[in-house]
Amino acid sequence: MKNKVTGFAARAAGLAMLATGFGGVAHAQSTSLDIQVGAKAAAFVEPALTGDVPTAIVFDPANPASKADADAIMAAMGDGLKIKSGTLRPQLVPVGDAASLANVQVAFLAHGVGDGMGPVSAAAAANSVLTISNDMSCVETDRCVVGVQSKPKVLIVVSKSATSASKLQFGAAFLMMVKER
Amino acid sequence: MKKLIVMASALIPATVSNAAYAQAVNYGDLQELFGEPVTTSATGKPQRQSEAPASMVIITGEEVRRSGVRTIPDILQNYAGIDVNRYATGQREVGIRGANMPLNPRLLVMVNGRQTYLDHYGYTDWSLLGIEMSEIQQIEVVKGPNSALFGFNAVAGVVNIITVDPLSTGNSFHGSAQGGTDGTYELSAVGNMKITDKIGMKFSGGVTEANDWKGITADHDPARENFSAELVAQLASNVRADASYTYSKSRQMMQAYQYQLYNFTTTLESLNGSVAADTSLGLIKAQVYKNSVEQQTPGIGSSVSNVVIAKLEDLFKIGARNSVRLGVEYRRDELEFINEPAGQTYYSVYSGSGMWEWQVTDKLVLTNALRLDKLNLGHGPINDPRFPYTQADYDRSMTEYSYNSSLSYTIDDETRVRIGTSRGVQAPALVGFGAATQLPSGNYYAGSPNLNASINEAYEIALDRNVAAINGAFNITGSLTKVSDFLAAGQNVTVNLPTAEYPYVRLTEDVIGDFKAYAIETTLRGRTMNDKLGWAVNYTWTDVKEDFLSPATEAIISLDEGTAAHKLNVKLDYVDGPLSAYVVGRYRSSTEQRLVTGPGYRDLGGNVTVDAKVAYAMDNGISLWVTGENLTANNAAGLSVFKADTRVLMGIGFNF
Repeated sequence: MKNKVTGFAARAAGLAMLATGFGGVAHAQSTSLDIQVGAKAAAFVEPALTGDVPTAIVFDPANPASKADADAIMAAMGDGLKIKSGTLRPQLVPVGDAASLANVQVAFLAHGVGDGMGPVSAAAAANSVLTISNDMSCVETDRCVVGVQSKPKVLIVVSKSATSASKLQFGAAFLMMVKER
Repeated sequence: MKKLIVMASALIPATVSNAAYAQAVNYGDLQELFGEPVTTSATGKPQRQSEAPASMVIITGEEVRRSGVRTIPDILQNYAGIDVNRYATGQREVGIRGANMPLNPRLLVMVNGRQTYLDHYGYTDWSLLGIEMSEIQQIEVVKGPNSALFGFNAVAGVVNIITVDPLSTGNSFHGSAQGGTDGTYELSAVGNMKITDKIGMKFSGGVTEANDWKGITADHDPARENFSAELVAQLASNVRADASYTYSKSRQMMQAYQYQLYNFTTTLESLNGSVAADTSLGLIKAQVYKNSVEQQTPGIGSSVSNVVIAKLEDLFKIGARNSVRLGVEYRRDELEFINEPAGQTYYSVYSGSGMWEWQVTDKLVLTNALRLDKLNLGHGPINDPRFPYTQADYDRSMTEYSYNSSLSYTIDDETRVRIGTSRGVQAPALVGFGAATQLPSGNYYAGSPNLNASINEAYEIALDRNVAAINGAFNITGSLTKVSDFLAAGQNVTVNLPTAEYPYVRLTEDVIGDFKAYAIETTLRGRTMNDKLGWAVNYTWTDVKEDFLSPATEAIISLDEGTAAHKLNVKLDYVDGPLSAYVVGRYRSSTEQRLVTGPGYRDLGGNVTVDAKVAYAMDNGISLWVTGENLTANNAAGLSVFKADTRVLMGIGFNF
């Protein structure tokens, strides 16, 4: 376990993010609802994720906006976020430490990771890590497996090529209901 | 042909790339993910309600329970485009977009995809569903024809009731008892057991009795009893099997042929089995079930009927933007009256169907569905030489097609418009094909093997818009339904009058003419008070235009005057911790309901009805409630042909 953040700043950021999320403001950051949607989507991976599921929150330490987004995601997940048959256990992972993805099953990608996204995507694919982001450009460029948005209505986009590259599988009913690209 | 095979071969790898382990459609999890109800009743494909290519109402089980209703029609009547009339004790008749009638043959009702529609007379007995209110996951209503998915008789619409999944629910028990005025009592219990992580069981049962239409039905108060058991097993990570048995019995007085009152005592037993597998070739589902019905109806006769249905379907995606469902189905229907002189009437139906959803762009979706049904009619040996038809007359077949086509365009994140057209097929009821029975008077009933299907064509346009300001949504839908060669049970009395030499009177189903129904439905709903209060207002305008074959039929059947032109429903649904309150008010404009007694009809003026339930749930799992039905004491409540009842009930529930 590394870079575990449980501080006041992160929780405050989470609350602020929560407020903007309910206000329906365009997403510069992931909201608590976005994270919940992403976590619920993770429950549809087959075979199911069970028990404690190591989960990375990848961010760029050099980018304050990315750090703030990562803190918001961390705050939204707390010590662990329960999904159907397991619990996502979050840990912050700087974008330069892509090798750490070998030890996780799920990764939330914060906004503003920038050029570091390429190595992260490659490492995630190599380790069959489910990558999730609220930054839709991530899934639209096939660097994330799942893109999520909670407002104004729940939108889930799945990249077929990223899914295939990561050797991940989803239930057929789930794939019938999301947008694949 | 070669070209087609090459094209199909090229598509297979794209399909296989979706290989998955997995689950069948898990309504609860998917609803939680998308934040709205999920349905398969529009196309066979799992879809969010907001994206379904049909006019739909989805009522959650939680709302059903908060409302305090005792039957499914009781809650359906609160929604736009749904007509509910009271032609019977113990239950109500449900129509979609007008033209409701006793023994309504135009609505297909199912429980978990298993039809409860009774083919022998062509109607639904809502007391025979075999389910308890506390086991409902959701009620899905599709307005308009959907024969292309479900086959015959899904012409005015479809009601598919989904029950909770014992494997997802885990160990739980719900028991309740309530009673009140008019000798009303209900006992109900539902138990879920998760035997292992991969095996779940559910048991449910209940009994009900009441005194409806006081003074009319003293010797035949309505009652129902039912019991069901379901076993679900996850055979492999991608294969799930389900087996269930349902027994239900109802006793009630119903308006039936020519709006005459008959006492029906009916028993329905059903055996159902299904297997669903998430494979590299798609989501494959096989289902087989048998419904056996015994019915005693003094004045008509006692009958035994069976229906066996076997179906197989595959649902898969081709690429990212195309979803396809392919299906085949076999159906066998049999009807025999006890002591019948003319043997068994039966038919077999062979069906093939397909659905294609094409996500043309991110905003534009085209959905098409097509189905072909071939019905082969037959009859057992006919021993009475006076019977008007020979066995050879029944050696005929009938082929019909159904379709649904819909184009949806998403204008922005909040707004969607949709246009659609559909063709549905109403098959003659088995009794209409020529069952016969000896009556106490010595006469016989005889239908005709020459009957053909009635065709429903519908056109609709709809606008859906989320309204963030009220944390809710708005919908308006306009529709036109054209029904040709409408088949109605027992409405044509002019064909043959019985004589000693020819003792058969044709008093079953026949073509009575055509009609059109115009409808506009609009709904506004929202949530307020920190999400504690849900509210909804809906209004429906309906105009039915009859074009019947004979004035005699016009005098007997009242599809136009029996339909309320204006319907307004207002609902308040409040939940605050352990306290919940549900109030609904309904206005119906004036109608004329047919009766065979007195002047032959009953004029019902415009009327307002209020139902309510207040409940308190304690921490120890015990809940208490008071329910009021027809609190405005309106004689015409529920468009009842006799004076409507007012009822107050108190209940206690146990949830563990």
